[in-house]
Amino acid sequence: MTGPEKVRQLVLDPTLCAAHGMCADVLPEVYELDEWGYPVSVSGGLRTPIPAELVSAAKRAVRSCPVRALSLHKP
Amino acid sequence: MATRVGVRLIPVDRETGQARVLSDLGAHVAWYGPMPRWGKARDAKPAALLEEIERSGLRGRGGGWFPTARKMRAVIASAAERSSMSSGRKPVLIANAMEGEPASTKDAVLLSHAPHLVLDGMVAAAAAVGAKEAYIALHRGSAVIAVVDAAIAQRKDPVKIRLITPPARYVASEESALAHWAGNGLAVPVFDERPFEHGMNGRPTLVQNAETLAHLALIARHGGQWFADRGDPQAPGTTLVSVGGSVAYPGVIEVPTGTPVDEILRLCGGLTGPVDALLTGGYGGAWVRRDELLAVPWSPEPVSAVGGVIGAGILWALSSQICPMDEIASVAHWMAGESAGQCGPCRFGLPSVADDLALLAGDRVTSEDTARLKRRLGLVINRGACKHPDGVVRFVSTGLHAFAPEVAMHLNGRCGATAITSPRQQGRLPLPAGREIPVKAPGKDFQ
Ligand SMILES: Cc1cc2nc3c(=O)[nH]c(=O)nc-3n(C[C@H](O)[C@H](O)[C@H](O)COP(=O)(O)O)c2cc1C
Ligand code: SF4
Ligand code: SF4
Repeated sequence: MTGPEKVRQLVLDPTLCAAHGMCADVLPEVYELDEWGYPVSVSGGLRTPIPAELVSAAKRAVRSCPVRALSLHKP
Repeated sequence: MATRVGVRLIPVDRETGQARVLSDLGAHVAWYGPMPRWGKARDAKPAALLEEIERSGLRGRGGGWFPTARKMRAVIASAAERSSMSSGRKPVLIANAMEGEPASTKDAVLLSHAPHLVLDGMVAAAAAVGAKEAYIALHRGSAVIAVVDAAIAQRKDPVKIRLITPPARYVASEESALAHWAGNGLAVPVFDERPFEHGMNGRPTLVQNAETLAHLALIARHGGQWFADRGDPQAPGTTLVSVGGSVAYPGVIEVPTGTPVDEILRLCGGLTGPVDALLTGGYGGAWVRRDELLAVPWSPEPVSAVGGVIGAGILWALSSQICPMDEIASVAHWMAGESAGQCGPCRFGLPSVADDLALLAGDRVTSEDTARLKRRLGLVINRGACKHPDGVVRFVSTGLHAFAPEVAMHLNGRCGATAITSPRQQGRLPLPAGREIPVKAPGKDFQ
């Protein structure tokens, strides 16, 4: 195994996301905004593996999204 | 359609070589034989039918080529889990005869010649998973609504079959959209919901393509081994192909899987002129250069090995006289308009990609424009609730690759196509009337 252990999965529901952009502020390690203002994950898709050290920041991102487009799951 | 060995679904008359129309139930039974009453007799339990389906190796013909028995088992498992937990929700069956791909005509051809075969398949599928309700979905305005309606009226089935007509939108036929609409929602894809677990009104929902169900009707009659004896063992059986473009006799043809592409083209009278690349799988499919495709067996794995995709069984030979950049730009524009407008990268990304392609189709495109296009293609993929944008990206990216020489010419302000491209002449990719883009949000036209 390489890299840090992934302990959670952060899921972005693209049908809810309204490009508010808070997630990229709270969790710049995971999201940056595309040219239309929507978050792009470092992992490319809608499900991002979150290592232990980012779990609390990910929880903050979940709480900060005004439309509840983010959710954190056990993989 | 000429008489050929290998045809199973389409009732081709051996004497005349013509495909018959078996809209009458009696004529249908005379041609294919009677349907065994699966689910009734003691030795014809649903479990035995499921075993035959497993043995057949049948894979879905709606685009994904997913093993049908595996999907059925998932529906059964999900229903069993539910009933032990709560009130017990019976599974539902939806036959997907929407045929959303504009270049596909196979499901309509199948239904106009053998509507009862698809309905028999629905009865078998419902028996296999224990569904008591079944729906056949045809897009609003479909040419085969009357035929199917009349066929249903002639039958007495153990399961009630109803005809439903969701809106004629490309993404309305994606399975979660279909299940959502059937449950009185909008015909838009639902994020993270798999119909086999949570479909129509939350019930386990089996969605199968019309052609898949027709094969199932024959498996129910002749058994899994019979089915598996023909075609590529990895994806057995025969399959319908909608062949179009620069061929002598465009139309639908049934061949055993694994038939080489050049043989399929030969059966359609051969190419009628120079062709650089062919579109496989439709507007959510992929372009492959002719020299790389002709010898390839028409079966999911060999076709994908050369970058193509069988999808819903579309093969379109684009004449070299038609500007491919113009075709790709027009289709991308149409597909952008077909987005449900729910997901940002699809709603905004696809129109942006289409704009870049419109520049590429013109004669003032720069390398900056193509660089931006390629960046955007990378941005749009894997970020939608459904695979619609991913399909468009594949269609465009493979097109840029297959037509690299034409891209280079356009960058030099030239175009190799000789045909006058307006008005749309024969051999160009079909485009149903589209909508204004960009889409704001799924509205009335998804009702
Ligand atoms: C955007 C989109 C459009 C689709 N359109 C169709 C369609 O028109 N007909 C169809 O049978 N399947 C279509 N599908 C595939 C269905 O979601 C589903 O996988 C299929 O109907 C399952 O049947 P099968 O297992 O028999 O292939 C579409 C999928 C997507 C992502
Ligand atoms: S905070 Fe929520 S709505 Fe805003 S961009 Fe992030 S996921 Fe989308
Ligand atoms: S990806 Fe596009 S078509 Fe699919 S659900 Fe989202 S907006 Fe609709």
